[in-house]
Amino acid sequence: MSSENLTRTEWVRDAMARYETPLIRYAQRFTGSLETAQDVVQDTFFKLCVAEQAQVDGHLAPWLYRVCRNRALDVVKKEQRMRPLSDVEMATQASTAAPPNVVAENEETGAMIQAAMKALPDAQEEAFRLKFQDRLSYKEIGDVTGQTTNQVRYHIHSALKTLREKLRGQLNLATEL
Amino acid sequence: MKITKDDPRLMDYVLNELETEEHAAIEAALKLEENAEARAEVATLRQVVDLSVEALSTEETAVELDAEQRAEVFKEAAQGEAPAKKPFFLFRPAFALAACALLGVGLVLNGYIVPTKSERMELADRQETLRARIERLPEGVERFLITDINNPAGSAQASPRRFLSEIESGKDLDGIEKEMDTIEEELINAGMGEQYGLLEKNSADIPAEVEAQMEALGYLGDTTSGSAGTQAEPMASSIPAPIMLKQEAKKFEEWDDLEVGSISGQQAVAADRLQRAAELAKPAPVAVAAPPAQPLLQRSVPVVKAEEESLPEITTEQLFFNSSVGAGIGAGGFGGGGGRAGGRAGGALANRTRPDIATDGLPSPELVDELEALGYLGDSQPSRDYYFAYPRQSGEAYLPIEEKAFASVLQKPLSTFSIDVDTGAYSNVRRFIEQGRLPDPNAVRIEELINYFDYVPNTPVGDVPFGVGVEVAPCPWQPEHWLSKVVVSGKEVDAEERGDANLVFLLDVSGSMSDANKLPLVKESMKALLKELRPSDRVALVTYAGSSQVVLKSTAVGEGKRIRNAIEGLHAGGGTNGSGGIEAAYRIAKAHYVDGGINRVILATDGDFNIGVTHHGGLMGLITEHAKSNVFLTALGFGMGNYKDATLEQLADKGNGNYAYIDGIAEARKVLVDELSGTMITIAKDVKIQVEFNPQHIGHYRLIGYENRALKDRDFNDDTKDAGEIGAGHQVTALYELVPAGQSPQPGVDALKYQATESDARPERELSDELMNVKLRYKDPEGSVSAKIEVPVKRDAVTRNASADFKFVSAVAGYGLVVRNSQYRGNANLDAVVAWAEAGKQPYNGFAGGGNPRKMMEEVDDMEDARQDFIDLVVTTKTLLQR
Repeated sequence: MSSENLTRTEWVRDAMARYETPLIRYAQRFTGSLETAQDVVQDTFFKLCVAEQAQVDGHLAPWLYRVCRNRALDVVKKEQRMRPLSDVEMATQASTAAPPNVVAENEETGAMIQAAMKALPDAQEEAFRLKFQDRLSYKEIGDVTGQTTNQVRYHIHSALKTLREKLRGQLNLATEL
Repeated sequence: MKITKDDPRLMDYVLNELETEEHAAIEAALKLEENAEARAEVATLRQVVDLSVEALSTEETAVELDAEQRAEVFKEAAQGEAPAKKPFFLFRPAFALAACALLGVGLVLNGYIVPTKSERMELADRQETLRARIERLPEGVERFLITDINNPAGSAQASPRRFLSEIESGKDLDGIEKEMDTIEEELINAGMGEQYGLLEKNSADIPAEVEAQMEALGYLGDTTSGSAGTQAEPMASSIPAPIMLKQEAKKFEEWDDLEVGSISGQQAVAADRLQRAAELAKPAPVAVAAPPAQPLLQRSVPVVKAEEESLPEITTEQLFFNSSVGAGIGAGGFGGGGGRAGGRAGGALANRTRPDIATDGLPSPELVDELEALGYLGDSQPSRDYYFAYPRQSGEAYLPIEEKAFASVLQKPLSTFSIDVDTGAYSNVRRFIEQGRLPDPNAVRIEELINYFDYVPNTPVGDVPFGVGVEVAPCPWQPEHWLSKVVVSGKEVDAEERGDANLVFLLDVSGSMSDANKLPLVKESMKALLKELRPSDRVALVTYAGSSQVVLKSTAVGEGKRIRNAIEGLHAGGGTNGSGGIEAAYRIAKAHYVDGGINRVILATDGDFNIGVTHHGGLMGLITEHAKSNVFLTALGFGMGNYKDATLEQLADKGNGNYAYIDGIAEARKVLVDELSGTMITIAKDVKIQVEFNPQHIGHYRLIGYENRALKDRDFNDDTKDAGEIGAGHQVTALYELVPAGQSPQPGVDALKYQATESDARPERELSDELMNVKLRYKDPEGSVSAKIEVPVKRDAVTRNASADFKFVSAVAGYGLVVRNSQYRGNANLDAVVAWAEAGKQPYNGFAGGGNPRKMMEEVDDMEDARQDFIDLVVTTKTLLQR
């Protein structure tokens, strides 16, 4: 993959169009506050502005998530904001307040999945979200979180198993349909 | 293969995280009766995954940066430097030292801090020297570099010594191993470790109890990177978030004294690497363009050059009209690979040009199978996961091509394959060349190169919807052999005669599509196409980005304004999430199905077509299912970044359709206007070709290209087996390289000692004057029962007076063989390719059949222009190789 023909501005603009929203959402899980998340993401893109284009190409997504994650952790530390879990939860719930395209019949299932997801260990939840929300591969997730591919694989498998159990009822229904 | 329902690979399969081969193996196994439980489990998992994706997608809110923030970023991008007020991630020597000391990772300091120009040049020199040293290692052993660092436990196949002792007995094994050790060390120091498969070692440890659990579940095996005990940090991810943050914070406090920018220890190393690699990227542009393929390119370039120099100049006349003169010069220039008959594994090991070895530095699963079968690996063979733990090539994705070897007519008299009208590989190769780099060998699908061009059509006979023509002449790159060209030409359908069109455009409008050569190009092409359609045709638009949306319900072209407005209103923005898009597109296409008409979904995308989930198998299944409805699929690839060639090609294959890569406005017009308006009319489907060779005249044969279209011989008559489609005016050309009976294929294998030789075994039958028999099976576009036609080819059809088309198609195939650095390329080189193409540039000139050109002069001009463009491309390629 390459972007030889893109100017740096086009390249950054393109990356921003694709990753701005998901990165803010991701950062917000660490920072809690939307404003701080925006700052973190802006910093992430500043970093992209000075990165070697050709080197980032091919793994733009993991690169951005990783930089964003590190920056978010850094900011959280710097601001001495040791957020209790409940705040993070609130942040998540706030972000679910305005779902753009909820399909009515799945609302109940969706709520159940979100509840189940929150009950997952953090590492599993993070890997799970990066996989299913941000569509990164095991390898890419590992690059973001600093784990081996097998660790990521393990987290995602564990999370899937948990959800599979929780959703047993829904699934049978769906199979009959 | 029996698969239990608890097999963890099932999840990887559903998530499309398996390598291609493993994925295919599981897919095949799941069809077996004995694996019904596993199949049910896969269905369940897919539902869980789909529901999860759906639930998570509802969380996506439209959070954005402030316009001001965004403007600041763009300003910085324009200046190409970060603002002075935001010095985050400036790496300092003290920090680098701390990271090294803390983690015990030996890293060269020079690399991190922005290196000076001389430092960069010095590094480039070191990298070059290293490549030369790797080059000097015994063939095949380079893939063991790094692997034993990743896997210090020393599994059987990670032992270079074991490998070496098989191929290099008597050599100085200790010396070679020592050399490998120093090379490894220097590779890492020179920042080239990842290119040779170095795993990131920055991960934290797994707590003992989790590790035990993982091991019990088969997650570890020999597959972890052996980090146990090397790092004292507990696994951050196993700790609840607040604690995790505290841990991170504590580390930062310690490091604040060192004025560390921002990141944690483990992360620092990898982030540093990124930084360092980014800074170092400049001196080696080829490496930057395609890092994983780079060692191969580096290696193959001098090889090609050397052979070009050492081979005598061959003129077109010699090749086509006096081919016997050129006899015998083709034997040089082959790699170690042998024919299938003997020592297949050995040949594969010795042959560096095999893409699956050379590109990723690892043996392919097939090779592992072979080695295993041969007892090379012993019982301690680690689980397959070992391979899948490796970094996969990100960005552009190509399936490996394994070229077919020469087959003996006595052992395998039949060759069966599905036709393929795709042309994407040619424009993709052209894009590589125009960007100044050699294509990934796996991007060079020779049949698509050949089928990109138009040739003189064969007139259909009787009710058959296509004409078949066969031409046999001496093979330009191997003059002792023959080359047989089989052309299938779909009949032309008058635009007036066609049924109504029911087109559904499924458009990727994610942010990345905003480039001028993507969505704007799609829009322009659609408007041009609209002018070609009739008022009674229908068009619908479905977009997908953050969510899928039906932008325009199926609308008659008569209401052109509404359609044009909808097209105008398209704009790129948002992330790619095609959930439901494909369902919606097919639903509309089916709802407006036109009997006997053109029913087609046209997908335009620049990247990974992430429908619903990333589970590729699920996506393919979905498309396969929909294809049964007689709605066909056209997959169009646009732009560059993130380009997933393999996915699109397979989608088109599964979706009963075709795939093209659009690299500019000319190509867009060719595909969307010139061809789509005329040839999207499918005239026959499930078209299969089977050729039977007569051993009295032909000893061996080799099909060029169509590697991923091979069918089993028995599938030819099996109407349940899917195959390719052919549209009005489409042409499909297949080339066979034939070895006349009594000659050995080049490169060949020794005669068997313990079995009857081929001449002994040749059946005592009345001499037939037939060389081969070409059979085709096809179904009507809406039919389910196939018809068969046969075209026997006489021995005296072999001509020295090849047609212009024959010369040109040989040139295209020869080009593909050279660019792939194929072991079968004989004496083909780029100069010869240009000469062949020049000789074949005018399609109706010297056409042996004296064909009556019915085509308009304009079309002939187009054919010649395309051929001239090809010649220019070859010349450009040559300058790249000389660089």
